[in-house]
Amino acid sequence: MERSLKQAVLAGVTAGIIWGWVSMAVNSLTGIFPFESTFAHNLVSFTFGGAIFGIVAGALMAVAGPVLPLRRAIPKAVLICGSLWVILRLGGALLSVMDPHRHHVLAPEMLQGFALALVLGALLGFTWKRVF
Amino acid sequence: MEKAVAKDTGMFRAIAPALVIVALAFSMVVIAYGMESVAPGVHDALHDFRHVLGMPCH
Repeated sequence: MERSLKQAVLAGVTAGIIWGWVSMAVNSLTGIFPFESTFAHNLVSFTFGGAIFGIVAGALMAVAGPVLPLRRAIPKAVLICGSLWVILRLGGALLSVMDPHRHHVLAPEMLQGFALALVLGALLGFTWKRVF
Repeated sequence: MEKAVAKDTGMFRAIAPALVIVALAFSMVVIAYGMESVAPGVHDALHDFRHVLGMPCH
């Protein structure tokens, strides 16, 4: 199902904002990273961050989606978001190698982050199909 | 002349959305790594978000 860039951005920003809130809720439940900022601050930062990640994922879905060897929107979006997270994490691993005192690697946060990236994919696939 | 201007405007309209997406992708990288040198304050503003995502931080 192909979408215009505008539709992709709308689907992405919607999925991203919801994902930001879901991420906050999931981390509150798991307690993997004890929040350091206030709830109000995090609500704004997770909404903003989620929107940015969602827009980029939506744009990638519009550009790379048609060439992926998958037919359904949700698996495509999950693959794109998972790959995006892995690429970002590889860059982070490079930063950890260059400056290990500044950039720590924490396995539980990493696993949670990857799972949340897959959740973003599922949400994006859903908004891709249903909302716009 | 008018044709040339119209062509330029059309090209800009075609490229502008892609440029915005590239800028947002760059913002995503800045947020993910908390690049203070690019955007002062981004590290603290999105510190918890970055940790929850599993990106390396202090």
